[in-house]
Amino acid sequence: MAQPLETKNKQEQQRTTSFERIMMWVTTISFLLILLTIGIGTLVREDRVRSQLENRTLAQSVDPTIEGIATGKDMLKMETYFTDQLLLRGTFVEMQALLSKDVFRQPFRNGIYTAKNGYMIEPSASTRVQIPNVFRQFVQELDRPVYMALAPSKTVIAERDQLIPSYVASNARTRYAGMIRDFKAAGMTNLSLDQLKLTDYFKTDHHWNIDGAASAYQTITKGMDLRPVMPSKSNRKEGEHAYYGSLARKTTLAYATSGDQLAYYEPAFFKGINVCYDGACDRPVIDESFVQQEGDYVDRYEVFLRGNHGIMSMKEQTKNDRPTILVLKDSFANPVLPFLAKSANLEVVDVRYVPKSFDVSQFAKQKQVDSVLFLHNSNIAGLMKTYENTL
Amino acid sequence: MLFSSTIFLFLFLPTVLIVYYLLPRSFRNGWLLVTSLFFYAFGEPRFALLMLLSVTINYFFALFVDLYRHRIGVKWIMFSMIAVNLGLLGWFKYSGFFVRSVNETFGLGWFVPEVVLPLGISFYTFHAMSYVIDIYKGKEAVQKNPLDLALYIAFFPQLVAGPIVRYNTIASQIESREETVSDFARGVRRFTIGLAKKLILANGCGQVADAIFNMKDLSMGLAWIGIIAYALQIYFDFSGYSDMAIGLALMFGFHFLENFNYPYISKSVSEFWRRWHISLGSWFRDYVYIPLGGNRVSPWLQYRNLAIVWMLTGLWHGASWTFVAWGAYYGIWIMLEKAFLGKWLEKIPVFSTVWTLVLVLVGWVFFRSETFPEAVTYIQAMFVPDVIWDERASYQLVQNGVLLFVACIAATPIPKIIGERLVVSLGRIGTTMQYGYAMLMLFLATSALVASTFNPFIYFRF
Repeated sequence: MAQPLETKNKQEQQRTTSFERIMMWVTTISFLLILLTIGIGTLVREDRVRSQLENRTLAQSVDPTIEGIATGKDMLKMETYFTDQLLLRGTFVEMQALLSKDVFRQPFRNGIYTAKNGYMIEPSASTRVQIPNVFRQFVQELDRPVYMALAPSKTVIAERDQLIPSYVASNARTRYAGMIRDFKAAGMTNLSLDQLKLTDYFKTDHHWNIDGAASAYQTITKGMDLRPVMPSKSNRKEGEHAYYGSLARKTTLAYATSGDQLAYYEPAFFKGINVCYDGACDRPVIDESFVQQEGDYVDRYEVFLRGNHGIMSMKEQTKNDRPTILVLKDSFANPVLPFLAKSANLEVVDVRYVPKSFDVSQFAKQKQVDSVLFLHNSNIAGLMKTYENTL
Repeated sequence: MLFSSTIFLFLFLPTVLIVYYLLPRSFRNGWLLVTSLFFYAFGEPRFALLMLLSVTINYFFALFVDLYRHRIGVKWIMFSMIAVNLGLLGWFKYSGFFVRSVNETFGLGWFVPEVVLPLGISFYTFHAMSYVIDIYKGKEAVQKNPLDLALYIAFFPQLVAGPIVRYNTIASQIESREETVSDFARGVRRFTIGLAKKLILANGCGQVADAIFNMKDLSMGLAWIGIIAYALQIYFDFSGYSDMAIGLALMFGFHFLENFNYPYISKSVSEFWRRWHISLGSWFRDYVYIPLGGNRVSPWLQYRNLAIVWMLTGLWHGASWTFVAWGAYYGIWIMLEKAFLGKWLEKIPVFSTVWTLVLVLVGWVFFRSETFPEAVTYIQAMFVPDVIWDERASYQLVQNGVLLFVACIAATPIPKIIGERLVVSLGRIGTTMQYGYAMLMLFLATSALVASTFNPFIYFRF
């Protein structure tokens, strides 16, 4: 039987009210549960030392002192520690990136622009740094051929290919050209790597890939009159896991349309090259554990020589008739060095990782090198001070 | 400690809430006081003593006022109370500014004291003064329990950035209040909305504003984007903080008055100030403007009263001549509206809203700029620019256009109206959305908090 309208409305109101009351309880309980779960979870969980996503060391627990508490410094440290160690930290960071990309439609994230073709670019409009006079002195005093292979940064290529929107100030090409001019004026022989294409670089990382490195190797051997030894395509391998590089770390996966495939040449091809650093030899040229590890943000680029080392030598024991080259480099050199070690004996120095007192000229003389190769990418303005101290 | 910090959100707040509800009623105020003091001392422990000193002094002032209210000497007690409170505020907030100004004006070389500004001193000083004044006026009974008075002044939701809660608003709630699940759930909603306002909208807009205010040779487009972003930043920053304070108070059964009411839809500057930082405006109205004679004196005296109130309002916001100019700027417009402009604006509703918005934006330029020349250059770029539009403006528009648009809409009552209609029309689904949305805001705000280190609360410096 149909009920009178008024009664029906009253019942509806009562139902709604009781439903709203349930929702109030649900809200109250879930609010407290969320806060407690994250809070207690953070406290109970073992502290993490490093964040793969952020590629940095995380803040560790604080031993408070009376002075630290009185000045409030220990509280600030505690806050940083708790935020760094927060449960679901990575998920929260990714969620924020998703909000920026999908809701606020922000094409840039932490200074990184994701182009329509998925390439991540870091535009830069920093001022051009003049190369210090110490390079000219180094070339003159050493009295051996000094070569410069300056890889255009990915931003240079992206600017050339007009991938960066017109409204973004970026002067990487101008700075690159200026730097090459300066190095030539300092007496170095320029080994031009202008032939590199965007596809020679990773989409999600600032480095070049194995094709870019191989192309650079060919230019270097040609320019330095070395015999190139290229592996066949059958030696080429690809990691089964996607590689998300330094730029993807800055934006998080929300902005990376797809990961890269990290290709490398199998370790067998480099057999016989003895790699020594940190007082030990027989180090791997290719360490496949970095491509086999699981995890979105594993730094798979370390497959080449396990990354950067201050002083390293790479020699094929059986071939003593080859020239010895001093390579002064940054991480761009890492995939090139295994190839280069097939053509020459290498003494490698990464000035970022040597003591301040290290003297490159002295080292070159001591090792009786035949020539010197600077192998860098064009973003080396920050290294000028270090070179000023070490050359 | 900040509301928008992980330690507050995930350790302090749940601990305070759970222990609060487990304790017998008679211990709850004590617990709130202890935790409020911890909250304050967490960042600046040495200044907790200063705040306790302020509580103690005003506790005794109120007792004396109550005791000697019918004697002539009560005026001297009141005078001493105001002098002591303003003296403390003046030393910590204005001493450097005052000496610097004297040095610059008279070419002197007096020592400029480098005094660190204690967190929230402007707010708790006004809380304390209003308490004693209310006792003097007989609006409230004197608080004999010093711990309850300390709770009124130090209660952590409103301690460091307001709203300026009057003693008579919560005196009875301190004595006895009823905590309900309805209040708690409403408090959660309000708090999470405030958190999202602060961490997503205010901080997002703040990045745009900071970037533009640090640039030189602004085009007209860039200058307008910058000031709109700043206007949105300061609104969401402060109203978000007020929302969090109101929400937190509700979770403990306290009901604070509203502090913001969509100020950017105002049709006059006077209306703007009835909608913006309501607790400060009403404080100055009740404790300065009306005691000076308010509207019940001759027109010239009314203008004098307005001038005093607005200079003080400007000065309250910061120890700088740009803040004084900002206050004076509003004072002048309010005087003009009182004289004739208000009547004209009433007749042209849409224009009056746009006009008011432009005046407010110009006002924010003074508020944001460090110096007068900086402010003048910025205003020049807004109205008589060398360049109308440039690539930097295009970048800001492409990168932050949606954020600014969302923030503009969120600064109006539109989302609230739509939300209320949806809740009514969708029935249970609407109710579920209404509460579920609070949890979503909590997650999004936490994400913004974790992902970003850009987390300054603008109003803390006041």
